[in-house]
Amino acid sequence: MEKCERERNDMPGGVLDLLILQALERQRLHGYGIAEYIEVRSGDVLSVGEGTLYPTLQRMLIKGWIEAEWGVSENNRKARYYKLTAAGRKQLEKELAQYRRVTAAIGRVLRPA
Amino acid sequence: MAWAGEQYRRLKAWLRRDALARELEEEMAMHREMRGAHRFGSTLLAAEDSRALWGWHWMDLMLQDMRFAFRQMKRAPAFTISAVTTLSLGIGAAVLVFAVLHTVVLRPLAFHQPEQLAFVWIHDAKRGIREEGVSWATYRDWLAMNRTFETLSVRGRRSYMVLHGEEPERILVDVVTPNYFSVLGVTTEAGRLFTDHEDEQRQAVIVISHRLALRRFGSVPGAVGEQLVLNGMPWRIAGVMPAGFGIPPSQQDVWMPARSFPDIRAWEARTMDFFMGVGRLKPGITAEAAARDLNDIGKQLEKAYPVNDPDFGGYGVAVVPLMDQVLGHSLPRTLWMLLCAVGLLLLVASVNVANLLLARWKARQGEYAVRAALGAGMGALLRQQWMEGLVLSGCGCVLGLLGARLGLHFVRLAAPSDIPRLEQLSIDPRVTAFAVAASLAACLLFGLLPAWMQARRPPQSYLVTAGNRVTGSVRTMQSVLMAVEMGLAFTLATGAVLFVRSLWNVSAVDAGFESRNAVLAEVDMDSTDRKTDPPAFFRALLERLRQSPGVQAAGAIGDFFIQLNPDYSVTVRGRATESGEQVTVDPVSSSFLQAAGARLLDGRFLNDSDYNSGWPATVVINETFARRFFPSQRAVGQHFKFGTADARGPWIEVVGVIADMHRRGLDRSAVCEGFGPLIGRNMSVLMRTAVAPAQAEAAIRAAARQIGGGTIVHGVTTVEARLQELTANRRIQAWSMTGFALLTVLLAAAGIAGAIQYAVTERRRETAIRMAVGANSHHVRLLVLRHAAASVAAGVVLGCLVVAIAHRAIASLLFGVTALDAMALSIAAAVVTLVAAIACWGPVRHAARMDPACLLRE
Repeated sequence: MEKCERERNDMPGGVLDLLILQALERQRLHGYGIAEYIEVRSGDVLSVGEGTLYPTLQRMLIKGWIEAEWGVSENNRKARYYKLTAAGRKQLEKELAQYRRVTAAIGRVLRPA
Repeated sequence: MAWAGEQYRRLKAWLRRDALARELEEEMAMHREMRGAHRFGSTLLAAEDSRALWGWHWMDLMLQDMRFAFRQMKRAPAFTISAVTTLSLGIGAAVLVFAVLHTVVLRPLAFHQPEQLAFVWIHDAKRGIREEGVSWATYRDWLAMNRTFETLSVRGRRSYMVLHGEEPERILVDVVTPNYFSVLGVTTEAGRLFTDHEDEQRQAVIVISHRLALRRFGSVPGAVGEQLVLNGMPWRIAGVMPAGFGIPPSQQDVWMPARSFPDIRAWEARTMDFFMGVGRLKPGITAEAAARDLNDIGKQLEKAYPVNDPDFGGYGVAVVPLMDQVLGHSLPRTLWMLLCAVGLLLLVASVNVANLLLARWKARQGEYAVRAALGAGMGALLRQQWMEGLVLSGCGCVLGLLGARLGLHFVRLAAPSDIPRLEQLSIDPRVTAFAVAASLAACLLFGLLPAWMQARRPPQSYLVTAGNRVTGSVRTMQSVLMAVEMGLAFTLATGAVLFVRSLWNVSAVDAGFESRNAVLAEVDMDSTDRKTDPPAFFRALLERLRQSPGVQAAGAIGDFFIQLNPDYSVTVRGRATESGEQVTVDPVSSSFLQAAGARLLDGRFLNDSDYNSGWPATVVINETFARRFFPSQRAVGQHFKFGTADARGPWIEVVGVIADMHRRGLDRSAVCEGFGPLIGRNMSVLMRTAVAPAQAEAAIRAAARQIGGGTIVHGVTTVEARLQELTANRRIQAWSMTGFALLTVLLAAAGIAGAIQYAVTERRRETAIRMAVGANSHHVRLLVLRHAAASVAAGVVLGCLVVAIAHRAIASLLFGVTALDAMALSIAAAVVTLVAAIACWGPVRHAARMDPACLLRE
């Protein structure tokens, strides 16, 4: 597939945290894996570059929502794998609930009168 | 909670930041590899953003500033060394004085809530006797009826004899009620206290001191359960008190239950007696209120138990807080004054550093211009300056603390031995906190000025040159600072001269007795059996001493260096009323006044015929007594008696008048004293000798042993040594003030030298022009000197102002001079001017030697 032809949209602000938390809900992933997960699941609409991804991951590490450990990747390279902590799970629930609330509210505003 | 976790993770990340940065780079490299080379992300910004998360921004800024400050300091070694040295000197001196003040005065006594503790004495209003003890029966009534004390205990003091090998030794024993220890809130270090039950049963149990346990039994636990033989009677040791315990500390060695004390003659008697009250006041109750309460109880007791003694004039009660009694009056005042003096020293040091910083600030204007051009805001520039100030004062604090620690050793060696608690002098946490506070205060002071100058120079103004305005304001500032320094140095110099003069005046006082070649010994008969007759014993002792080789004369008096105030009131025959002035009459042997070298002004000395078995009927009085009581007539031949005219005692005849003997201290005014032919159980023996004191000591000990009876000789010293101790306080004042004044004057001189040199350098262009149009070197010198002289003059005026404000505060510490003494002020002014002149000599010479041609070509 030729990626440069597809439509790419900017991610609304503040959503990246939620997407990363969701990505790590049931699995351990390394950085590239997370980026891939988001791209694939969004049908290539949303993408995240490493310039944005890694600082966000660092911030979430400092906040204590995710943990990192070194492991071996698919192509036998040393890679850092991330996973959710208990605090992270709570944060995920919180952000999901908030997102749904906001989205529903926006939807109500936009509904044809 | 989550916030705390986050800060902790930030800290961990900051500590590992370099490793983390490497890991991040690896991770991103791998990421790029995996997605292919199509897209180029911004790795630099990613690394930057991540790095910002490790640690804190303000911490990064602070560390950056600190590193810069250290670099700048290394680049200007002359400035750094002078600034840091000056600061350490000031801070070190301040810390030293505060450490002494803290240990001796400020720290609460080692008792539980010592501010609630008080002594209780009674005095006989009619017989005019004060600071007397209370009887056991009266104490029990106080205990039952009082409303102002939480608990009240009593204490009596007696000396006992223990045998140390063959030699008898004197031990001070406190006879106390068992609740004495709970009043003070202390307990034993080993073993236990004696109980109420043991007290009631009059058991022979005691508690001993830490040092006695070590000396006799080798170890503290080893003493518990052992026996101690006092005056021939065995006592069982129940426990050992912690080291240094006692009021005053470290003087008593044994504590004995009150009811076990064998010498209480009658437990029901209510006349004044042996015990002194030590009580804990209820919270919120003052000493005066307690005294009123006990006085009321006393009146009730008088009604209930009328005393048969017609001389008995009723109880009066005095309640005195413990701390006041233990510390005395002049020592705290001296130390506080020294703290103020050292504060001035620190101020001068800070002003010096401020001067240095001002000069440097001016020199660094170029650097600030570059920083402003690169984007530094006012906040960044100010922050940088404050950090430099903090680094300077931090170094000063550390070095000052080290210096103070060394100084403490010296203080411990040089200080007089009777200052309480001095052996516990150390740099403890509170003293360190003071050091840090002092450094921060200094930093604030000297950092304020450059910061203020900087604040008036916002970064934008660097784009426009305005150099001259900066120079002008710096110069004015420096002149003001110089004046302040000179003023402070002048103040301290005045103080030093005043205290040295006081010391000198005290030393010049005529003591009224011959203080050289006189050995003093205390002889106690307290511990002997009651059969030995004191007059017979002392007569025999003095006779033997006179026959000893080298002893020219010997005599005995109750207490040579008596410190108690006169507390007897008397009535003169032929006058109706009691006079208001209180007198004291000391028991002496017949030869004492001659042996002491007293000067006879009228009448005769006492002789053997005056000594009979009853109360004395003749007395020799001193000048002050004669002047106060017999101002217009000859004192010899007059009569007086103790108490009122109808009191029971005999009329006493005055047989001689001597010049005042200043035994209470050369700086205390003389009191009305008389010397009566009476020998008590404990006397001070004075020996006039031509031999070494050690020989005289051996002679008296041998004589006492030969006569026998178990008397104890202790406290052998020379009269001169004791006189030295009495003036110790003044010597501390004089020496310390001189030291501080010297330091301050030196610092001020350094400051003024630096400032003048700076001014000369700054104005060299102007000076060159002046010289080119005809001024010679003489004129140039005059200009510089005028500048300096203006500052010095302003400083002296300022200093006079400070002295005028402070003079009442130190007036009580001086002797023979007032604070506004002309000689002191002129000496101080002369010193300050001279030092300033010497300090300016270098810069002035430099100014006069400048070559105008070279300067104009610069």
